[in-house]
Amino acid sequence: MIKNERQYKITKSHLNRFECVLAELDQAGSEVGRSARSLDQQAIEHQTNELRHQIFEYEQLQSGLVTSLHGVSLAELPDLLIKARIGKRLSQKQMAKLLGLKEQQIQRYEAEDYSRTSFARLVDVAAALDVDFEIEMAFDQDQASIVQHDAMDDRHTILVDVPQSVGDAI
Amino acid sequence: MIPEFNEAEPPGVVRNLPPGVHVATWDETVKRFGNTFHRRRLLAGLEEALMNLKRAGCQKLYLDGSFVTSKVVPKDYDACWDPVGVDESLLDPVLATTTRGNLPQKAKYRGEFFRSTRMDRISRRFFLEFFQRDRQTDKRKGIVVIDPRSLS
Repeated sequence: MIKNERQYKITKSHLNRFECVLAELDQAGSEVGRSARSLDQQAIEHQTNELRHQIFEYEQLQSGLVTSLHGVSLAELPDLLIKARIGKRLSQKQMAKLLGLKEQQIQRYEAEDYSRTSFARLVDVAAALDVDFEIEMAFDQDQASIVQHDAMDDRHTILVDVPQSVGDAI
Repeated sequence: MIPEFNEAEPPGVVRNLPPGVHVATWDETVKRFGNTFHRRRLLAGLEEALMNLKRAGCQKLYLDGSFVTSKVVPKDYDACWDPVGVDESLLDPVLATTTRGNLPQKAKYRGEFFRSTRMDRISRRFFLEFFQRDRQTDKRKGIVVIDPRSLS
């Protein structure tokens, strides 16, 4: 995702490069009489569309046109908080002031995608943003997930053989 | 052998691998990037995909995105499979097809898969330029390449 003006500019310049490459490939393709895009071109086209989507989303947020966001995993929560701040046209400085923090602290939180922020602080950030949540968590007792599969199949030892240091990693 | 991450620029932020394509076995990848349960769960998805890719004859899978950085909670991983030697009729269609948002891939394998380019003059320059560039700082960064055959 695009988090600030600098990344916005970088992404736009990437999009420009992508579009140039696609144009060159189209040109090379037509020179050898190929009309449909090759699989390579399609892959690049896919990336180009992703960039366009990121740019569009940022522009929409900046314009105050977004009033709700949706996520499908807890890991996305930090992105939603950052987007909400942009969407509410709240600067990092303003948010810092609301929370009684330094602006650099908010910058760091966002640069790290809130990965080292305590849950309590995350709740404060959401409160400062004055956002509403509706959280629905679905789980199925009978689901044949990779986790259960791994426990039974000793070829997949990844999740069974959890390193001792996991607790220290965070 | 996967090198240590570079120093973060600016300090405290996510650290990248040094620029370049770093060769790693599957075991090295798990050891280096599987240091939380969440990350190991993502790797379990990648392992499923690698088994399919191995069966299809794939010899190189490039691992990119925030998964191969010091980021504690990456949302997923980005993987680019090299089509050289691949019998695409043996590939899982979910892996072989890219769609908007790649939701089927994320649901099944917890990551996104792209077909890497055939390295013609234009595509190769492009691949090196874009996939090895930090999208936030625009600086060159390293990625990892795994041989699916290194899975036992």
